[in-house]
Amino acid sequence: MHTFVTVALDGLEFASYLFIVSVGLTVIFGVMRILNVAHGAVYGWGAYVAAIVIGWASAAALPVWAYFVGIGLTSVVVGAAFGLIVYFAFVRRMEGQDEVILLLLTFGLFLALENLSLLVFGGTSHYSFAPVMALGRVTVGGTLRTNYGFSIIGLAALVGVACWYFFDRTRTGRLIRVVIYDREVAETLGVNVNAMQCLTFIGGSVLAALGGAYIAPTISVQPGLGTQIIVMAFAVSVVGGLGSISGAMIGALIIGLLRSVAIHFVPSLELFVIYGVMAAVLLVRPEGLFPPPKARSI
Amino acid sequence: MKTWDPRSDSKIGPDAGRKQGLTRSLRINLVVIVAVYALLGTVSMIAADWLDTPIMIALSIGIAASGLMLLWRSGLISFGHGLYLGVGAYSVAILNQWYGVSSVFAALAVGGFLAGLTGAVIGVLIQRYRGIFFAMLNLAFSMVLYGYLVNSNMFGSTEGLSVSPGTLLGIDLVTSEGHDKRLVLLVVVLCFLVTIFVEVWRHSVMGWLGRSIRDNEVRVQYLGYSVAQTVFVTYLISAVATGLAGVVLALSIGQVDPGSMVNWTASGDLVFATVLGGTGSALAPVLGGFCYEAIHSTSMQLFPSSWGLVMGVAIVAIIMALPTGLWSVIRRIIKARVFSVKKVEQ
Repeated sequence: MHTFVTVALDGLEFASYLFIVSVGLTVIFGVMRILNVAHGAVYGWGAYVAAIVIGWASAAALPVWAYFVGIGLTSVVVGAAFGLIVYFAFVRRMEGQDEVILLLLTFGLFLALENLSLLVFGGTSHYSFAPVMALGRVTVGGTLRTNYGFSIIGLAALVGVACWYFFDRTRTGRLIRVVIYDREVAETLGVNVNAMQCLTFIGGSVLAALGGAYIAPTISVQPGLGTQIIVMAFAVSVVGGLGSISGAMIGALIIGLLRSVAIHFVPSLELFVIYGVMAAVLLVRPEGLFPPPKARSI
Repeated sequence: MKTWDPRSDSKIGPDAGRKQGLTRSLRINLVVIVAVYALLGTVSMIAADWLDTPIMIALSIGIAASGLMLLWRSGLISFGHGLYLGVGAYSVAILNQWYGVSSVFAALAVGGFLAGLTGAVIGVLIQRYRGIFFAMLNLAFSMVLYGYLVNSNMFGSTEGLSVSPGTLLGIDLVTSEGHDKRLVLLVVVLCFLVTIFVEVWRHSVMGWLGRSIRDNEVRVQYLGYSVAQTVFVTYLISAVATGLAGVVLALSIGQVDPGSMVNWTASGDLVFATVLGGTGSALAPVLGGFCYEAIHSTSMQLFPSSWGLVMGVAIVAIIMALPTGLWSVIRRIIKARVFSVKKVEQ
């Protein structure tokens, strides 16, 4: 029972955090057909900046809520800043290029931004456990869990609901879905596709930074963080179907839970499980488990 | 004055591979390749000893990029050829450490064969995929190997295994001054053979089909050719080439490890070298390999802590300025010369 609860909760926490990072990646791909490798670097920057901001907050002995305000502000500022730079300086200029060329472009940006974070923040690990400590622990099913872990699950649920509301209930969100479905028709109907793309890119980058900022207190923030997460986020998005939000959720749950099972029972299979699942799903369903609807091409 | 004859132009029609003997453009290209390699071989023989390793790494990457270039001509990019690089490199290390085999030729045979075998199995599965899915499925397979290697103590985990320089027909290639020039020459010859193969392949029927696939697969099928077969064979060639590249890379570095050979960033570097060179010629990937290694080792030397930044900026700058690769610049120069000469004659 203990093991079951631990495995399930670990998996759920990891899945929540994967979902937050992957949803941005998958939406950017849906709207712009760009598999944005630089997403991983934005995640890393979010984690570094959040660790420092939390450090300041705990040094100034601010109340608990200040940590979360700090995390929120960090992700908005870092995500929007990198989103704007990457979008306007690079992606916008390369419009109409091959998907694969854009993939390589974002790969270059990823290398540069990752290295820049190493230069700015140094090679040492940054720790910021204050928010985890402040929220305390709780016993569930005989195992001791941190409340912060549960708050990640809550945040992922919040992100999921917010995405659903945005894409299903607001005018802008629906217009973005129109762009995903058929870009050219959207353009002829007067949708400002460029504005929608810009909005998506920034929104997606904020989610990447949020993922990094929220996970920062639970890990040691060190170089190479983005390299790990970006391929996992790829795996999640591809398993769920690139461009599909519900797909990202299912993909995150499958990969999060399987990874947790692997870690507890066969630790050496940890990475193998993630990419094995990805390869298996792609082989059986090339478009992923829940591919977004496609306009019929004539 | 001789006028341009479309029948002798290798760029038009799939005639080139069907004719008896070699076509004119293929003959010219082969002569150019032989000349370039004669020069390259001489330069690498007289180059200073410290240049041996960079030259061998550049050539290894050139060999891998030659295979990837054939895929790239069909519009396919693999973000997972680190898998084959790893298979080649680890076969050298395993032959070396477990079986005590240090023959370079044995390593090339085993590494090339194992990479080909892996490529054949994965190729069957992968030939249906295109674009981003092709890139990502390759990435998934390579990360499966990476995940396995990182967690296996048998293969040295993240530290990897060390490789001795090996023997060539019984001659020991170890010297106190670094690499034996014979090993350098061997790598040059291997790269030469790969380039010749690529050039001949480009002029074969299947080579032409490879390029047509990028434009329109349906039309290729209407011509009565199998797209699946073409993609599979091209993939197999790229796997073997990358496997051989892995073997010589391991021999020139003297070390194999998952982080710099099998991880997805290593695959990304191979793709960068490929796109850097372009698809314009069989020599383009080798040029890409040399430029890649030049950027990489110069930035490693000058800015040890920020070479990633330099590499990243270089990738972005080259992609944005020259999405068709460096070879397109060379071609433009040659064309400009030819046209200006013609104008004078008229």
